[in-house]
Amino acid sequence: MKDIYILAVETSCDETSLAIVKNGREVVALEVYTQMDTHALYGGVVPEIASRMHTEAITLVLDSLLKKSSFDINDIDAVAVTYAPGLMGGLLVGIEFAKTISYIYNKPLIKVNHMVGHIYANNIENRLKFPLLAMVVSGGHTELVEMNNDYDFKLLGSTMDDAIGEAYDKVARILNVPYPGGPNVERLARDGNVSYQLAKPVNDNTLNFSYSGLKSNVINFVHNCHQRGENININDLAASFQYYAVDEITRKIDIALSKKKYKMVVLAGGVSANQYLRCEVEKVTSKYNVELAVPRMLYCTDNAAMIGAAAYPLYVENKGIADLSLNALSHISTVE
Amino acid sequence: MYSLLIDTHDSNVLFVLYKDSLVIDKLNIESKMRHSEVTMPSLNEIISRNHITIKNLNELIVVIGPGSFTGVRIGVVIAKTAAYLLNIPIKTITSIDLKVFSNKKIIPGKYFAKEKNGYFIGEYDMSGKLIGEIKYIGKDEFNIDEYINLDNMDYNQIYTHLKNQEPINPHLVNPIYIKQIEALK
Repeated sequence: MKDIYILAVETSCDETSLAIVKNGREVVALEVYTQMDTHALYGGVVPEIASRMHTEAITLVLDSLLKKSSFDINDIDAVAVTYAPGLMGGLLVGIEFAKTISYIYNKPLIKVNHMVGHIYANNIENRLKFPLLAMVVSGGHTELVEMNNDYDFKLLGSTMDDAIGEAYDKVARILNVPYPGGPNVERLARDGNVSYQLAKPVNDNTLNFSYSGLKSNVINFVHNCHQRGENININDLAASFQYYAVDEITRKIDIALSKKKYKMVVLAGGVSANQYLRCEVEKVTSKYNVELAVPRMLYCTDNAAMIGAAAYPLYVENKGIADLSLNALSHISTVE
Repeated sequence: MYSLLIDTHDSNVLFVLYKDSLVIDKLNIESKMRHSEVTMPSLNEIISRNHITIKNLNELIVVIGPGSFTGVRIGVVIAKTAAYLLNIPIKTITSIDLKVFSNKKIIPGKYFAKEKNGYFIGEYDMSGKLIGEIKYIGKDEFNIDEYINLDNMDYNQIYTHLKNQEPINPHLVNPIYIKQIEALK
């Protein structure tokens, strides 16, 4: 069969990323231009600034991608773009950019769900083995998804309130931890002990998650300590929060694995970069003797290679083809 | 020689197609701020109904605002990407320039471009050069008698005035932003 080259575009948050992916698995070229330092000045991603920076960078990133790889853009078979979920303004820059390329070279435009991209990041250096259990953890998602084949999703459970990444960010704010909050809370937790007793999230047998109780518990605890003039051991509080937050994940994965035999557990989404989470999940998967797949850091954070990987099965099946009127969506589940 | 002007700075999406410096077609669609759904299909429409392809374009002109942040960005991203990939010259024009350049002989004075809740204003000299900076003022501050008011744009005149302007590197084509970002106020 002929080799398929997909040019992939990712601009859903604060990374302008382009990639050329061969047959959905081989990364021919990848560029990631991150705006993180700029947003750090404001303590979080400012959507309008993100959109402006994507606009300034996008053709330069393409130029660099093509020059470094000596790839002729005429040789692409399709253009893939993240259309959801994410920041509208950022998504639109990538979408209009991708449409223009698709139109000029008369190549199909494939729309890709960013969260599905995170799952397919595991198909780049590893191979997805079905049926699999995907734990999608990010600033907007906490979803447990079963996959029986490419793009055959079944939502087993999701958060009923906040996403895990959101809880990390809010705890970071109350602890005065600089942006990016999640990774910094994890860093603080490394030198702390689980010495504070916090609210355990939903303690039921469903596969749903809840983080608002735990988050409020931390916030109220900090306020009360301030009022009473008591000192807080920030490292211990971060470690305690992280213990309860991740325990929620491992407990649900445990329940899912006890109910059905899976060939693989996949961690996907920005929070899968959390080392503590990886270690704790591994304890559960080894108990059930199931392979755990986690992408390496480069493919774990936002990148276009995963979008190219996720677009490939769609290209092969002639699915997910969008026309020039494609619009962005800010919120969408992994399984939509 | 074909040139295409792209204007997405307000609630409409506008394309003007030129052949040998003269307007041969115009497409003006009220998009109700659904620019992402309307702009590329409209580009395709004006190109295909004139029986050319985008590869036949020899020059692009894009309105870089001021106007709707997202709206302007859509036109700018399409224009700079196309100019870069097709390797053709690209020129930029502001939403106020459109009015200044609509007269054969430029009338110096103050001009405006209307926005949802106010006006972008700028003062121009007799060569059509902006004096100072473009500013944004609210409806209460605006007195129409101070300004030169044009109801219709003349896209042939606009093109003539743009002839003296040097094309710019597509990578450097970016919107101009006058209003402050809400979140940072």
